[in-house]
Amino acid sequence: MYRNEDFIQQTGDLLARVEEMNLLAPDDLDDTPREESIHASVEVMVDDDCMTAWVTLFPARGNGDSLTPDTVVEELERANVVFGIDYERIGEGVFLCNTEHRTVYSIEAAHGRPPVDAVHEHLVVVYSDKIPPPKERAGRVDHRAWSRIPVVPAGTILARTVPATPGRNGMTVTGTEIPFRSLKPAGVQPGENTSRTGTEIVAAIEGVFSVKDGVVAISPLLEIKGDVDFGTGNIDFHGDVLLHGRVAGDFTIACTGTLRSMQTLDVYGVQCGALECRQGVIGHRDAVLSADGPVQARFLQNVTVQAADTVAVATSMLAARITTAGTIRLGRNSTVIGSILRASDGVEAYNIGSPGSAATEIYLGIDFDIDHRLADIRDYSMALGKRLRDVRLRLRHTDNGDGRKELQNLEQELRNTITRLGQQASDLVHGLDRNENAELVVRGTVYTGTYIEICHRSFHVDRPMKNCRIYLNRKKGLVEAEPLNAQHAGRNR
Amino acid sequence: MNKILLVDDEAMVLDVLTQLLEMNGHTVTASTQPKDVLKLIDTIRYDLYIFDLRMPDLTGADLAAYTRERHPEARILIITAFPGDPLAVEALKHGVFALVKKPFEIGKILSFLEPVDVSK
Repeated sequence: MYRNEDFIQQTGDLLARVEEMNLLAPDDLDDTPREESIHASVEVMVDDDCMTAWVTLFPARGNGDSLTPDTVVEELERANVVFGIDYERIGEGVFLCNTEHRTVYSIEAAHGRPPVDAVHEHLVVVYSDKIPPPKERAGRVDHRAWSRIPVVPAGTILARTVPATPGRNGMTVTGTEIPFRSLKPAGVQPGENTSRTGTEIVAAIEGVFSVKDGVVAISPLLEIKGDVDFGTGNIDFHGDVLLHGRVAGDFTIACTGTLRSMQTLDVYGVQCGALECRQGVIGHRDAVLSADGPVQARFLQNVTVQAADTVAVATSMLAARITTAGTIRLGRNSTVIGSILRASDGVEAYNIGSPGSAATEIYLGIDFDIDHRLADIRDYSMALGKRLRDVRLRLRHTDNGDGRKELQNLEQELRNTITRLGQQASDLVHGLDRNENAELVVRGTVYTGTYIEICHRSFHVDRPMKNCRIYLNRKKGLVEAEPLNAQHAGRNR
Repeated sequence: MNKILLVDDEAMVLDVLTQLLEMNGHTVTASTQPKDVLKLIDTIRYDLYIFDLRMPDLTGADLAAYTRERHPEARILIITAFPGDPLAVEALKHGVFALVKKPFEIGKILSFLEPVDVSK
C-alpha cells in the first residue's frame, strides 16, 4: 500500500544528497540543451523515364559540414546522373539551404534532352476561308452583298511547302542516347484546277476551295444546297452555279458559267453565261435576267430576259419580255400571253394569245443591240431637242447683245450635237435589219390582236390562224402569212 | 435624197425628228396640223410619209387612207404608243408599212429610207 509519509522522506533524502554533491549551477550559465552535430546531406531522385533528376537538400546541424555544389554533383553522379546537370539551380539551392538552414525540396537538378524528329518536306494549307464583311459608310454592312460562300480568286496561294527538318538524338540524364524518329507528314497534294509554282499551290481558276482526302482543289462549280438568302449573300461566281433552293427577296446571282436551277427561279437580278431551269422563271419588279448564252425553262412569267442565244420555253410565257440575238422556241401545246418577244432569228411557237387575252407583240429580224443604241440616240436627241426649244424661246425675248450672242452659241452647239447623233444613227442603221429570213412559225393558233414586225414591216393578226408561217416578202416589202409547208410541219416538236 | 412628209402634233418630236432626218440628207416637210397637209398630199409625191396616229381633227389612219387613195405606192409609217391600238390596226389595213413606237424609232424610220435590195 502506498504511503505518503515514505514518499516525502525519500524526496528529502534526494535533495540533501544533491546539495552535498555541489551540483547546483550558477545563475549566469545557459540552461539551453546542447544541439547534436549533423552534416548536410543530399537526396537524389530520378524520374522513371530518366529525363529528369531532382535533389532535396538537407541543411547541416550543429557543427556538421555544410553543402557545396560539388557535393550535390557528386551525389548526382553517384546516382548515375551525368547529363543535363543544371549547375545554376543547384548553386541557388545550396545557397538557400546553407544560409537559411532549411530543407530545400525537389530541385530539378538535371534535365534529359528529348529527341527531335526528322520531318520530311510537306505541304500545308495556308488559305483561310473566313470572309470578313464588307464595310460601308458609317460602318453599316449590306448583308445581301456580303457573300458567305468562300470563292477563291485565281492565283490565290492555297498551300505552302514546309521544308524538311533534320532529326537529333536525345539523351537521358543518366547518359543513355534516345534515337530520333523520321516522320513523313501526310500534308496535302495539289488537285484539280490548282497549279504548283515553286513552293506553293495556287488556284489556277476562280472557284470553290476544298480539301478532300488530302487533296487541295478548286471547283468551277458552286453548288448551293439551300436557298440564296442571308446565309449565302448575293452570289457572284466565276464558273457554273448549281442552285437547289429558291432565291429570297432582292438577292442577286451573277455567274460566268451556266446557272442550273432545280426549282423555280425568282429573278431579282440574274446575270449568267447560260440558264437551265428545271421549273419556271418568275421576275420581280423590273429585275432582268441576262444570259450570254441560251436560256431554258419550263415557263417564264413577268420576267425580262436578255439572251445572246436561243430561248427555249416548254409550257408558257406570261407577261414576259424576251430579247434574244437568236431564236425563241416554245414547246408543244405551249401558250404565249401578253408578252413581248424580240428575236433576231425568229420564233417557233405553238399557241400565241387566246380569245380575249392581252395581246403579244413579236419583233423579228433586227439587231436588238443596234436597236437599243438607236433608242439611246433618240432619247439623247429628245433631251437636247427640249433644251433647244428652251434656248430658242429665250432668244426670242433677249435683246441684249452679249446675252443673245451666248444663247446663239448655245443654240448652235445643241444643233451640232443633235446633228452628230443623227450621223451616228445613220451609221448604225445599216446593220439594223440583220435577218430578213427571220420568221414566225406557229404550229398551233395565233390569235387576233397579235402584232408582228419583221425587219420593221408590220403585220397585225386580225383573225385566228392555225399552222401558219409569217414571213417577210422581200420583193413586196410586206409581211405575209401562209400555211405551214411540209418542211415546217415536219419539224413539229 | 428623199422627200419626207412628217405630221405630228407634238412640236418637240417634230423638231428633233426633222433635224435628225435633215442631217441625214433628207428634205423634210413638217407640220403639227394634219388638215394643213392635205393639200400637200394632193399636190406633192413624197418618198416617205410619217403620221402620228392620235392627233386632233384628223388621225394618222385618216391621213394614211387619204394618202393611199392618191398615191397607191406610198410608203407610210404611223407613230403610235401601242401597236394594238385599233386605229393603228385600221391604218395597217390602209397599207401602212409599219408602226413606229412613240416618241419615234429613228432606226426604223431611217431603215425605210435605205435603198431596197430586192436581189437578196
